[in-house]
Amino acid sequence: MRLSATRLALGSGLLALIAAASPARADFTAPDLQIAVPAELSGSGASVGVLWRDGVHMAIDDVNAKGGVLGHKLVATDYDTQTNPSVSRAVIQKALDGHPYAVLGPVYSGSVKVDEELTKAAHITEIMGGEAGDLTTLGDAYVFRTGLGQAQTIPPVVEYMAHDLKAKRIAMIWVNDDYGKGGRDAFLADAKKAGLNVVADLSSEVGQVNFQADVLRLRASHPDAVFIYLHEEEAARFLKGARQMGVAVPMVGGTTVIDSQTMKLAGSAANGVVGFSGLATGAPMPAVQNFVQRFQAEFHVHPDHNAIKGYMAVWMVKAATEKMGKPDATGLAAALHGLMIEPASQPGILLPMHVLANGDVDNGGFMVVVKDGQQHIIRIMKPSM
Amino acid sequence: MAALLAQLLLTGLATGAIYALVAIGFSLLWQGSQVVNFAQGDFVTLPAFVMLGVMGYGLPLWVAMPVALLVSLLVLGVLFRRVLVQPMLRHGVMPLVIATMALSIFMENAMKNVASAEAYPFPGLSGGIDLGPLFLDWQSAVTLLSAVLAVLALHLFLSRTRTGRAIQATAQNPAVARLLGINVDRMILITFLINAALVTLAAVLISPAYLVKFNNGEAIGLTAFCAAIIGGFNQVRGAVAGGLLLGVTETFAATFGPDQYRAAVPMVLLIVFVLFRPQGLLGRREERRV
Repeated sequence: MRLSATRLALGSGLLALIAAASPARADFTAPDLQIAVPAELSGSGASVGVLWRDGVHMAIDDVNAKGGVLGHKLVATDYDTQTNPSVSRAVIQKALDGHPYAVLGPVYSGSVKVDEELTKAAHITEIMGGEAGDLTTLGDAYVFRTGLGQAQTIPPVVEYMAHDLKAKRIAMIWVNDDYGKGGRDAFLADAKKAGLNVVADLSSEVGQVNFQADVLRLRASHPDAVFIYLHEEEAARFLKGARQMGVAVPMVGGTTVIDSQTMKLAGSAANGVVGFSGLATGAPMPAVQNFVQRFQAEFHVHPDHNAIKGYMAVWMVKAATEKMGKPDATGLAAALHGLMIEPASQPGILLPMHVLANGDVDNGGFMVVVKDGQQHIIRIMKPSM
Repeated sequence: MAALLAQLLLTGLATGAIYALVAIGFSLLWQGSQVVNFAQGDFVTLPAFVMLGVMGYGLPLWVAMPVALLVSLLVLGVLFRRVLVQPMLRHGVMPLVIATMALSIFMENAMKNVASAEAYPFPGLSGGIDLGPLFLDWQSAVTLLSAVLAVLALHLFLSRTRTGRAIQATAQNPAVARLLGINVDRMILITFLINAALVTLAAVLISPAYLVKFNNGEAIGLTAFCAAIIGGFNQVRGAVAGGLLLGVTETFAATFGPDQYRAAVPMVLLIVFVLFRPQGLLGRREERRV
């Protein structure tokens, strides 16, 4: 009997120690809010999807550390889209079967395009990383961007090529998916208005590894400048191939050409490349730099704009929920429309963000040049809010 | 126009030279032990990761290369044969083919788990020389030269040395070779080791442009397989011809054909050869009685 009492005392003490060492679960008296995080965790888009996911997780940890959302703890469940739209659709359906509070992801536009009708039908908000122009023009009230769309990022690029570079003959290379086709169409329309002559129009495939033929065609067209609209890995391969073949004309593109992954993979071949991004890790803002340092310390990789997007997506959910005063999964989208989110009230929103009526966001942007593997801001565009 | 065609030819040959190195491995393994190795593309990726791992300790590429070669000889040569090929071969060619497919899936997932799904940069040569209308970049020049030297060395080894001739005899008829006193098992092992060395060389040459990623082997393996069939699966020189032809055709098709169909070029060429010249460019007809 004495032995049992001793065991009981020891057991109680051990349980007390475990309870003391555990996170303060008791702080969250309200039910958890489930966040589904579908992302490109494998396949050709893994390098961006993983950063998105890590950004989401970092934000969830930050939000929970500050008491969660109106006392509710955020709990993330990850899903791998394998960078495959059909798999993405399947995993989103699986995620919706679990009745999440919100869906954060995926990043690739092609995946978003095929799965957004599922979240729309379920009246669940999908905050994603896609940039293709038509993602927010399909009348889906439940889909939101975390960064600028092509309608916002292409015009500054065209303007830079026409006015800063004084280029006339443009060679363009784009990836043959929803993201690339959207960027190509937007660029062609704006280039025509600006009087630019597209002398080479080269499409490539997702995951393409050999760009030698493309570079040769590009060289043969004798352009003044090159417009690049490829995903990060392909952009790096193209840049390496182009530099290897002695292409020295200015190269300009969207967010991906100045992405940290592209810079890492292309090495010195990325030097001199100019791109426009709504979210640049090189932005000279304390909040952004603090995020970059913390992300590097936690995940041991340099974040890119996708990491920032994932991070801000969680804070968008928090801001909209607090606006409603209570968690309401079906009302979340309505609360987001037209929402003006300031870093002062939501510190995880690194830059002031205006959520537009169609799900686009406006937070200004940065024209960036790559020097020695680092982003250098050459122009800051203020948000038009 | 002539300059562009010459440039395309040069670029296509450099690309094709890498396909040829990998395709030779297909051919050697088939001739040596009736193995169709569908993990051959992943065999190129593994030494690339080994080199990256070694360079991760701050060591230069020239140190990483022999380490990767040793690992390749051990894992892709000796272990591959002992652990997978020998036990499976007695059950026939088809179970072994399926086993190599399984090996490919295993290797890709293992590399992904160890090195993540991200791509990694690999050191290469930059710059080149302007030859008037032609531009010869150093990476392509070294690729072409290395591949030519490797193929030449292999040819001399197989045709001028006693071991090389024994390997050829083993490939032609293992039973008779055994009667002649040739250590058939040893000869087969040597073909596996040669294949391991060739994929290591291919890894060094291809990784600067392709980057290093766990699933790179899918593309290069399939293309090299097509190259081996097109050239003639039962001839090493056929694999070389097939690789070069495929590299040049791909480059021309990507330049003058519709962009969207460029990935289909190896397959289309394969179908054409299977229909109209099943023995391949330089292969010999084989008949089997059942």
